[in-house]
Amino acid sequence: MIRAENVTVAYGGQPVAENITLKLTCCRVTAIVGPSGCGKSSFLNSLNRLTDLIPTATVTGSVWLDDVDVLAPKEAPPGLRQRIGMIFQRPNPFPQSIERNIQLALREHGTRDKAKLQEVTQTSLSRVGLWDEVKDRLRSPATSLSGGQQQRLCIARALALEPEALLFDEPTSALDPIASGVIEELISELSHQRLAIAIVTHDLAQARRLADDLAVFSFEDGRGICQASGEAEALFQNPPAGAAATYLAGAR
Amino acid sequence: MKSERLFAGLLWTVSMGVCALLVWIVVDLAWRGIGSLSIEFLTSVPRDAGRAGGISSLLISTMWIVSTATVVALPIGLFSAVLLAEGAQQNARFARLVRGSLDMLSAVPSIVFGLFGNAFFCITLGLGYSILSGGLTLACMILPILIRTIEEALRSVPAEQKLAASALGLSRATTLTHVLLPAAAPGVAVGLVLGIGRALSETAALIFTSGYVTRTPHDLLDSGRALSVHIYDLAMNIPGGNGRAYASALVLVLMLFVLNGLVRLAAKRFTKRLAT
Repeated sequence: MIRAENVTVAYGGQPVAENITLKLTCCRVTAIVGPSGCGKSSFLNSLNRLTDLIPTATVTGSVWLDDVDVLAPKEAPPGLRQRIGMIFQRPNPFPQSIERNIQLALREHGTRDKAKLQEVTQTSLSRVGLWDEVKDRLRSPATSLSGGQQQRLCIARALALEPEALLFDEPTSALDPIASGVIEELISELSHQRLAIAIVTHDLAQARRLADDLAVFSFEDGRGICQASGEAEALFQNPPAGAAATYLAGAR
Repeated sequence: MKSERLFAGLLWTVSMGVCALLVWIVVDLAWRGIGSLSIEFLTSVPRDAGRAGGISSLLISTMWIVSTATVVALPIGLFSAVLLAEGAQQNARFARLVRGSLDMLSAVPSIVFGLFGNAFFCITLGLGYSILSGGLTLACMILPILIRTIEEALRSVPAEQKLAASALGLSRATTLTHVLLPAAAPGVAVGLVLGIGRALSETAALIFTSGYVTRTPHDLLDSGRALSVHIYDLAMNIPGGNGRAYASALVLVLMLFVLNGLVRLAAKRFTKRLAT
């Protein structure tokens, strides 16, 4: 379980997401929705400290992973990014073989045994439904796969590290509808496999289909805030007043 | 539509002109040089100041000099490029300084590098006129090209790949060796081709550093004459040396072609090996 408390992400002192408090729970999908530029992705990136890569970014508040505040130390705690995996908008496999894509991070984190590597490769590829499609060409370049397959490979790559949570940042927005559907099904399937899942999406219908919990971001004084969060169904049926309601109603 | 056609025609003419230039040079060299070219020319040492005999000792000197330059320059160039491409965010001012120096260095005429090499490697370090002095001088000379090309190649690796590497918790070293370098290998190869090409064809920087003698060098501290120096000497100082100068130039150009192909092949292999 991940608990974000009063997280504020700022770039060059300019806050983009302010005072976000949100809980990601195991076996549930939390959808984060809201208009463009209101700090959804920035917030997501702060959870596994990918914001560290941007020199001007500062993050305040706490992100509790079990009983550890991952934001507290100066450097990202070891293992953080194994425990919280991330999938991006555009599929980004390494320009290497399919097999290598899965095994690179595994090796880095200490798995050297060949049989073990192969076993994990097979199970992670199976979990994303890719094993049967690629088992005969594990050594061909990952870039030879279709966009949807590449995205599933990226998910498998994250799963190989046995994370507790997966963060999806608009994972289907670069894919065609059929590939998107496959990824969506996969996400809801994965949520039943002891994973906490967060997904940032612009697609309200997608949020409706996937979300157990919902967080609605919106603008206030030019900063992104989390205006409402809670059970998805309740929120969709009884939207809170204000900008969030307008957004959920799909009005402009 | 007329201006459209005119523009297309202009583009076509200009690019054909560029190709024609290369063809002209190669054909001209072949035409005038092929008469003196033979197996014997490649395998015997020059006699009578190069009017007779061949170029075997010069080929050996050239290989030694260029290899020395490459072996020294490649690791230095690689590390500097990595620092500039990856570490520049933390230290922008330092990176600007290094880049500025490199741009200045690449504009320095090769004769100046030659004088520097002579003063520093031959005299100060006491290496004398030697293959080593020449190689080190050339290394200094090709570093700017090498570094800037490799830096560009590293920079052009998509940011998404670096993001993916970070999100998987890969260390900077692994990211570099397993993600960035394989992706940048073709660019590194281009840098190498440009660098080696420049080293192969260098004359002015070598006259004062690796020397002038035409015998086969015994070791790195022996002096030896590079092929380009030989061409210069035959063409400028030796009456009746023109045919041999053309033949030597033809060999030099062919060597450039072969090297170009080899380096590209090696880069392809390298990418493939790291990637599977």
